[in-house]
Amino acid sequence: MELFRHLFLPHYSNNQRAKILHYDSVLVIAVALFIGSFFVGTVKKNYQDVLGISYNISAQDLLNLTNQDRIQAGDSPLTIDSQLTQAAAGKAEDMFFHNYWAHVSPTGVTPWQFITDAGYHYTTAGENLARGYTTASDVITAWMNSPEHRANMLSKNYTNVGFAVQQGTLTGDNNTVLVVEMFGSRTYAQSPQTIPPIVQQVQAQNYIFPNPTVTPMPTIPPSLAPQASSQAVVRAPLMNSVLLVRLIGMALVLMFIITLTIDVILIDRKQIIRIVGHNIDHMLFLIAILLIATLLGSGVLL
Amino acid sequence: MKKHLGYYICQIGVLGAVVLAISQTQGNTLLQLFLVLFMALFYCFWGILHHVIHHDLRLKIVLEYCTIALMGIAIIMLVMKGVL
Repeated sequence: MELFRHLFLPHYSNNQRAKILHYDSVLVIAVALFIGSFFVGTVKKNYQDVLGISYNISAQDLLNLTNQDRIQAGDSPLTIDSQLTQAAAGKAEDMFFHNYWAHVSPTGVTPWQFITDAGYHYTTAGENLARGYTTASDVITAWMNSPEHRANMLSKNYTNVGFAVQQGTLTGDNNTVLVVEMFGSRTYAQSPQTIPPIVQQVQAQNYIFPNPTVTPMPTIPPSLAPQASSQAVVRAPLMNSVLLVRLIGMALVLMFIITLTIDVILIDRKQIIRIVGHNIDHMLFLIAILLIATLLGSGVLL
Repeated sequence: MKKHLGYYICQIGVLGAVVLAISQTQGNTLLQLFLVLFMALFYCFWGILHHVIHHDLRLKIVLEYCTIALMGIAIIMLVMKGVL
């Protein structure tokens, strides 16, 4: 009890300032956190089965959840198309290889080229992208909450769909799970040589490309392509690093905010004059840190 | 408290803007880290300036702001290592 009071409450033993708020204590905690972050990074890199991010995203789950939403909206379910799946896998590999996060690659390759190169000839096609999500339901929920992606998912224009789920390093994020969803409806009496695509449309960005440019597809060496399957990314390490670091970070910030609040109340009540920093400054800063810690690592859509 | 109101409103505005910017730059880790560093520097500068204005700045107070800023950066780095 004495130790608790010394650490967390203003008292004569700590010069009327909780010991945990003294700059030397804060410095020790900061150094411990820097060492901890280095430790987490090292373990996560070398022992992925022990500490890592849990993933469970499969093409089958994505299809089931997409169709559930379509049926609820009164639309017909989509069917998996192997050529669209191949196109989605090609797009995902290209994104990892050229390290970009966009519908159109830095070399100007559009999603439609992946679709036509896979042998799928369409009247309408669309693409949804997601990264940083850990479950299929999170991906689908995020797409359904975004008006443009939702419009793609529930569009009556599409009859087929193809998914790619791949893991790799993308624009600085290690072990990002990238999900590519490609929609399409085939041309009637498909003849690749005689019937070119009529209208190509991405509803997620409201693009219309009446005259697509045909750029030669870059060849990705097999050794550089992501090794994960295009159908599913499933990983369940012993300890989920996301939960672990969030728990440590948030618990620490909350402990400081509560200690600072108690300090303000007690010092104001006792009318003690001290030469210290403004507690409200610290609390505002720590609240911002808490919000950022919550936001980091949330998935992104395109 | 009332005489510090403008100061705190300004601080909330800048911190809020950084949080908003971080929410809008998901996937760009480097930029997010830069924003956190900017926020920590702003917090130190703003806090110290406040004490300078009120003529009660001491080395102990400067160290207090600096170490809390350092701890904030360390927490974000730990979270980044775990979630990214």
